[in-house]
Amino acid sequence: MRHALTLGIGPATFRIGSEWGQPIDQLSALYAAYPQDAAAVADYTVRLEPAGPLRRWWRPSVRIAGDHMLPDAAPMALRHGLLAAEMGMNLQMALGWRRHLLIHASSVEKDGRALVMTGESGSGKSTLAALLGERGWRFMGDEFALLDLSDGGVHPFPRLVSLKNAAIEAMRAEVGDSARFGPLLEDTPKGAIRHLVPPADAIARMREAAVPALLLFPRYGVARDVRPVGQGEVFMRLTQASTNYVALGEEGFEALHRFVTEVPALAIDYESGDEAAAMIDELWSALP
Amino acid sequence: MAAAGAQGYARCAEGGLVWRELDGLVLVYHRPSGQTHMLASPLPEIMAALTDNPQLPSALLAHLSEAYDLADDDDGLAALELHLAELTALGLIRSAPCATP
Amino acid sequence: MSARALVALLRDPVRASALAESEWNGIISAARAERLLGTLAVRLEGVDVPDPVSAILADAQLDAEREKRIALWEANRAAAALAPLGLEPILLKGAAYAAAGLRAGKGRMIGDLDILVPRDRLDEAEAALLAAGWEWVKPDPYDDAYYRRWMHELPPLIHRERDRMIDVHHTILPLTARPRPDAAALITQSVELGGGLLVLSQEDRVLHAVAHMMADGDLSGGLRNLWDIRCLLADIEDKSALDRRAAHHGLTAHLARARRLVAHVYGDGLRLTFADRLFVRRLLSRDAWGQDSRKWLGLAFYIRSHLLRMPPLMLMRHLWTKWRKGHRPA
Repeated sequence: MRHALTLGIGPATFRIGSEWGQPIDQLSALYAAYPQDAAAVADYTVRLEPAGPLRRWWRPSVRIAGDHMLPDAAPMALRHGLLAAEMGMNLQMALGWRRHLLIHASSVEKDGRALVMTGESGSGKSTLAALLGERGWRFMGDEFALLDLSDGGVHPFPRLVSLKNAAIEAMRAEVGDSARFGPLLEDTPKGAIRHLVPPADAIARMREAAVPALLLFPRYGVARDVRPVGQGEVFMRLTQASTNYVALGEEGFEALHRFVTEVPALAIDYESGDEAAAMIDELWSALP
Repeated sequence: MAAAGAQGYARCAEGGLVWRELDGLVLVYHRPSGQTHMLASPLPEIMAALTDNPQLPSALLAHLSEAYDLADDDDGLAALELHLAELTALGLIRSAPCATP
Repeated sequence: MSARALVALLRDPVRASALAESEWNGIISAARAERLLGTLAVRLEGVDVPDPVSAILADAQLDAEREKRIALWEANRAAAALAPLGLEPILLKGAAYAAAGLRAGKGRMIGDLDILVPRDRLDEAEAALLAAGWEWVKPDPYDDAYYRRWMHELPPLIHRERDRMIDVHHTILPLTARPRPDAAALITQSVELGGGLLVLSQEDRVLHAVAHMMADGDLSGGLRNLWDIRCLLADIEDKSALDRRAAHHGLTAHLARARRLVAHVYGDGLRLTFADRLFVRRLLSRDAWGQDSRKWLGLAFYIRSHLLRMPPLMLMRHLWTKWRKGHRPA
């Protein structure tokens, strides 16, 4: 491949190859504080390939390929190449990672204890983690929480935060340093997207695990409410939110059972980021 | 009394299942298939009542109705047979001919 | 070319300790693309490799163990579904290697369950599997009719709860292919494994793998198929019995080519015919990014694979129908 970058994020190392320079240049700049050792052995390879014989030049169009691929993934416009690279890395983790139980969740840490938030896209879990990361919590990740298979700890995976639509302005108001934002990607399949570089301490401490203390199922846009969630329901929802639960077999079963029986779980409804942050502070201080 | 050779039910070879509790539910990890099953009462009780020797549903029902508050009648038997068929299809228990009635 | 480095390592695992870290990325990508990473992991057990490599290999072993467990469970379920018919399925390919504990199964990815049943009992077997929770994958009437008339297997079935596919074969090559292996002999010579399961005889296992690779496929995934053949050949005790069996099934030339390719790719090297060399170029086409660097050759083999299976007029009709439906070779 003509352009390449090797990138360490949390416990994983990615090798990204591209036929075009632009996505690699953007990645390299946004991930400047992360390990970029070209000689490192990568866990996964991601390839940004032309979607057809002429598509390197003519209406350039990117196909996301690599070690693990989705057979029918739609190609993306080259101007969304950065997003394609991020999606490619997520896909490798989702389909390939076996060293932790991988849960589709965001997480933040305080005093060595982790708050894990999971839910459908649109629940606000990603934006909430980014917001708390600017307000005294350590940001651990907005997409995947990695559960340790032997001690149950939560490991960070602090890739770039992927802000969508209204969350972009909300975080622009929160983060003073405009250099932490990537280019605005308009009209992607998920609307407008802008990437945000996590705070410096999140990157510096990206190999530092925390003990899970609270699991939340946030829901954005619904009047304030807090409800307990039963263990059976939590177990079911987390098996669905995990991309490698089945692949890990008995180890995954034991890790998830442990998490569900040890970590209290609540569903919270909220109408604004400030409201959610206040609710979370309250719930957090009420923990034993 | 059923004739010798009628279909009975027995537990599978030991070591194939991992049992865990989850308030009010039983989680079973089935090693041979790698599948997780979430069982609600009376399925765990039925599985616990099985032995290595195949038993007829009627004998099982008599046993279960002693230990738990279960109806020992035709409706109870039909419900039990459905549960047994379901557990067999999942491979959590096995069906086998009964040597003796 | 990374595929070359991969086969060199499979052939001679101790080379691993002499590799530079920078060489591993290409080898790992090629191994993943060829579905040989688990096999490589098994081959490299006990060999000194860099830590990040051993973590990747450990993941691959875990995946292979899971594949094996699930394949054996699927075989168990299929056997249970067919038992009331008094029919014992003959396991083929990966599931057979795993169930029989063969070295070809070590670290191998398995995927679908392939079984063989007598052709005159196909309808009963199909009905029993449908009753036990398997369903049609593609209800497309053209494909369905095509399978039933010309293929060596039923259209694939998928289990509605376990989400796993089963291919029910009645012979080992499509009915349109030139060689016509003796399906009845495959069945009468099959070997009992216990648990209601059977596998093909030692010789027929080799010949099935050879037929599948040389007379049926477009050679995609060919390196893995060739590795299977290498391992199965190494298990053969009586070479002349294998030759006689190949002649009986009409697969003598295919077996000869397979032996040459095994010797060349996974052995000490061997003089090849011109056509053999094209096979080798196709087999070793993965580059350091895991990409197929010889796409044109892939297309040529795609067309060849159809020629092998069908007479020309039928081929044109088939490709035309597929094309209209939007199918393109990858």
